[in-house]
Amino acid sequence: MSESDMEIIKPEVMKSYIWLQTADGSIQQVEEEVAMFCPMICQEVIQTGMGSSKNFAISLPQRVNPANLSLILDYCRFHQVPGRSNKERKSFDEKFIRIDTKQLCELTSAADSLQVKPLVDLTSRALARMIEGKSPEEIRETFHLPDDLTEEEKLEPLRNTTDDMRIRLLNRLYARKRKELKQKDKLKDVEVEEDRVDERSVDDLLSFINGDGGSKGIRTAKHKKKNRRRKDQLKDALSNNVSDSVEVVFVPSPSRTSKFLDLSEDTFAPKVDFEDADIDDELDPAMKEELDREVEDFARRLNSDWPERMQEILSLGQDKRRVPISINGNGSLQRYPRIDRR
Amino acid sequence: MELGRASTFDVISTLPRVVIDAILVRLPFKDAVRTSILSSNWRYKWVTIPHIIFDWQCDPTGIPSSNETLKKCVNIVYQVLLRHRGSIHKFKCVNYLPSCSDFDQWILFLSGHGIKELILEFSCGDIYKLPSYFFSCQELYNLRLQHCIFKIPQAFEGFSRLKSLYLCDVVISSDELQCLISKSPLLESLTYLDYGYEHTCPKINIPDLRYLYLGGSFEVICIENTPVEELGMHKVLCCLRNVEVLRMHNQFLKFLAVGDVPEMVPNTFGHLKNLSLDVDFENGKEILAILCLFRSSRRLEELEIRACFTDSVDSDSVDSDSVVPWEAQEQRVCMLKHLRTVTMDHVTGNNSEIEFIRLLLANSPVLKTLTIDTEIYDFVSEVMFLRKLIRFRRASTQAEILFND
Repeated sequence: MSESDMEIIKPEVMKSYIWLQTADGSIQQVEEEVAMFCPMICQEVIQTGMGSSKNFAISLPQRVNPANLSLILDYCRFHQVPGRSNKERKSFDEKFIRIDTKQLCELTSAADSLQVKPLVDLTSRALARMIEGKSPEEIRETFHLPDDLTEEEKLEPLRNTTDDMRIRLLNRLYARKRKELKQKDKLKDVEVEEDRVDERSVDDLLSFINGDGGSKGIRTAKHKKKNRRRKDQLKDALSNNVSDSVEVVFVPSPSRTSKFLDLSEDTFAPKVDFEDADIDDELDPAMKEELDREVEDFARRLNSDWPERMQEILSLGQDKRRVPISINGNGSLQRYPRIDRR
Repeated sequence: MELGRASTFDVISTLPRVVIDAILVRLPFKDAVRTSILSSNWRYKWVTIPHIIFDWQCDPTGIPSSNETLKKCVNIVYQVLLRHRGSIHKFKCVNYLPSCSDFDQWILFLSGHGIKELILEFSCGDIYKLPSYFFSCQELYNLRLQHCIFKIPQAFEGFSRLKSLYLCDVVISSDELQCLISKSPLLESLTYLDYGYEHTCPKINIPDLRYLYLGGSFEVICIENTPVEELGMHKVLCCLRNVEVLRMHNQFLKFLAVGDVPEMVPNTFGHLKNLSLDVDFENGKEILAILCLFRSSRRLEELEIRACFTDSVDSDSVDSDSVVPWEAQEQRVCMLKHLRTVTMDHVTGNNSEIEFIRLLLANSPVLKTLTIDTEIYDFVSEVMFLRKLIRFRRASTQAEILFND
């Protein structure tokens, strides 16, 4: 019935076409052998008999928009020809995935909803290649991901109760520093090996590779040398900020400070020993200088890569990112409103 | 504002879970887990990853030696397993940790999470006894073990879905192997390598087998509970009639060649595509056996021959030159119509080998490459060998002869 309609309309055409409708309502017709390369369409045609005419067009899943559909159909059109050599197919595939990242993601999603397995394999491999071996910063940049995890959350997999306080304190100090430098915008000449530093902290703290003595020891030595250079830079940077107003500071009460002495090292370098850091919750600009000095002192006494961490965060502070600040549930003073993350 | 823009373009985080899993699965496992620090959205995206893989990529320094690093590695596995959500399709731990009792816990965990592919390889010198809960992993379809002890419990009902079995240097008795094989009705691929331990006699009794690889020095191979030599070529090839890939790096041909070697076994071996054997070119009967194999397998596409020497002073082994009428063979051997690749290892350039190569070249019209790895240390002999090779007529115009150094 609908077939004879088709014949009347196009009597000279021997090919048969399948009608497809995308989520936005537009309908197009596609050669049958090309469309049948997609298992989902094939199934629809066989099970429900739809697609034979414009009125009975197969409605495609929502994730398939006209742009994706045309790409997918190009793929199908090429690969459904049986006589092609492996070489030809490979080089077609390589050219095919040279598209914009956003488009590639959407294409993967569309191919998955149409169940075109070889295309899903091709596109997800391409996306995996973009992630593999890159540092978190690079990945975030490629895919425009927001960097909205606190340091604490990044370290979470290895958190023990004793590490909590340390991390939280540092969180606060970093947050403060970040905000200051965001406004100052002065540290463009701070050289930071972001990749290496970040990798180090992630590795260290996630303990996935080389988290043991050997290589870590080597790294520690190397960092120590760089420490001195950077510490000077840091000193300069910090001294420049003396006159800034303070935004937010969270400070633990003295009683908690003493707990630092009992911390087991675990993930951080073993030779950490810091005195009772005399950190008051004083917020006058006058005290700020002392606070700066103490931060630096504190950082120096910790794991040797914290200065690099700070550098990295300081320079990253130039991006307009949300500054995550963790809140101490035990009621430390909050003079300034806290910023919600999320 | 930056964030506002970011969320507009952040397409990847909104992809459906199956797609994200497809991407993460194609990353090295460590990278996949590390995506948890990318952003708040990505924190728990990795936990549904279907494959959990611990291998050299997770720890390039190799198996941990000190206690501390060992504890850390063990901890990592625990943390990964505990955080994981959903069923675990594949678990692979290859040379990442030495065997320890924690593996028992992990296998118990996996058996409750529908494990389908299990790959456990321990390094040389190490050995791990599989716990009893291993045998209750009913969803297994791919199993690969190295350096384990396999002790089948009484109540074992078999792995009803097992399709592919790979055992390398696994301590298992031949009866237990037989039991395992017979209770796996879907078994299609069997690899049994035994380079170190007791030379168990494997008993092959699988009608649907498609891939068979036996390696090691077995004294006896049994097919259907009868040693191969008593079966003769006919029966052996009949038992293996569905095999598509056959690799036997032991004296399989020797076993086959016992008794009378027929010219051809009709209607068998029609599926064989890939053949890899050790041949003793001094033993005429083995050559007859392999020629018989050629005639019986119409679809052979890839051939790999390793020339070896058996020191057997078998009364059966006859000098090849007298037994194999090479000229006549050339006429009678059926064309190896689909043979495309041939590799020959340890070629020493004796007469028998040369005639064999001549036969191959003259009878394979679609041959693409013949790769020869010679063990001729004398330059003059090598030149003589090459000179003879050049003369041979080639049925295939595309054929290339390559030499490996």
